[in-house]
Amino acid sequence: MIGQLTEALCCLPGVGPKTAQRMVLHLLERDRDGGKRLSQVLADAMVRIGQCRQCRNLTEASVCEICASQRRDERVLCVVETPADLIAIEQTGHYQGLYFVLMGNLSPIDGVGPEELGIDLLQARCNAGVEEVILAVGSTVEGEATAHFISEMLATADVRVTRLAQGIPMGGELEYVDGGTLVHALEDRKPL
Amino acid sequence: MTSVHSAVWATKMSDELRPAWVLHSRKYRDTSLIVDLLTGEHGRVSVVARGARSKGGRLAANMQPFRLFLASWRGKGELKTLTRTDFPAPPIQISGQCLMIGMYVNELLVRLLVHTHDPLPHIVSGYGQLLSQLAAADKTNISRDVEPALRRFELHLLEQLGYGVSFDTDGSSGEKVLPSSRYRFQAGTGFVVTGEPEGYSGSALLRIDAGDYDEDRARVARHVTRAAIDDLLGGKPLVSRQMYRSLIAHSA
Repeated sequence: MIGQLTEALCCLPGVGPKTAQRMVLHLLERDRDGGKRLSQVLADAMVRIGQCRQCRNLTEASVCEICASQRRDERVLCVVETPADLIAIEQTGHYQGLYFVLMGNLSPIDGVGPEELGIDLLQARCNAGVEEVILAVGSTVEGEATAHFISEMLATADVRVTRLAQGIPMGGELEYVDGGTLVHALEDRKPL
Repeated sequence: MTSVHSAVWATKMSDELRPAWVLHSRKYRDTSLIVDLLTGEHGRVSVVARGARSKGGRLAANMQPFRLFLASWRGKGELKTLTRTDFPAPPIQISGQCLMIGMYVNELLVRLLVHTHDPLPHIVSGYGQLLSQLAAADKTNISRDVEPALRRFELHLLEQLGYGVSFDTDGSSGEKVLPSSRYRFQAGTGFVVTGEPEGYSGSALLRIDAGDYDEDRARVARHVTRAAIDDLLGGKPLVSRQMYRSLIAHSA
């Protein structure tokens, strides 16, 4: 059974057999209560957490907290690739609009097309009072393709489609910034 | 090919660094990537780029599709280990609809070049040329600027893989295609004479064979390459093609 538990823990990112064994022994020797709590919450979470039917973010409710909130600006929709990206933007405390989580990006070789990303759902949402869609996708080839695809699909909807600016990172010295970023930074320069 | 790309090819073979195109990369374990490469000497090679996503992900940022770079790798199995990299040329910038076409080409290569370690120098140089054309294409006139180049690449790829389509010969009788006859295309066999009026005209086929495309002939070539490629892929559709179609259908 100990072996089974060790093996099961190896499914976590960053956890190899050695770390898994340390975790198992820690729970068994020193923290049985913690272990019980973990097993209960984990079992519950795995069954009850699904996706928000408006933004596709992970939630145990049918509509997530952000989508249900009265204080958010419903006219702005920020499209992100993953829940982790959403959390990153939320942590800035700067964005007040709603989200749409793609749960990936367009990657045909991995079998991920528009359907997997719920783009039809995004289109439907854009017909309901949204004025601006901010594409907060990664600066990768797949992110670029995803942004292009979404902007084309929303071309007929009455929304403004924008994309996050790319440029010099905070505290970044030009000398160490890669060429591609510098090109974008030059192209997107702002008047002072 | 642009001069920068020729420069990359010129430096090849020094210290076992070989030119390679990135077709695709995906996350592997916590900090690594598995990268599919297209190389002239070894065909399609899959390598693990260890730690590519650590230290700010500098290497991961470079391991983007359509990137030409110099690579050396080691290992005996199917999956090699990337040992050294050099990036003498900046990435090719492909955007918009051309990017979708580029993704189609990469999916096609990954799907068709399975377990191919034969040298593919002609495919690789054709790929480089096609990407340069995609980067330089006039986005408002894809059908004129890009389609013929894409069709030529597909036909060339089929030929190099041993499934060439002959536009000037009747596949069943072995006779020359006649300008006045009509033909239908049968994957595996080629063009066959038909009495049906909706068949392809022999004169169009001969002009495609000579590389002379207009809108109609580009459509004929598209139907033919699609049938030949689908036959090779054994029924599993290309995701990028469906993606491209829904885009076209939406903008139409």
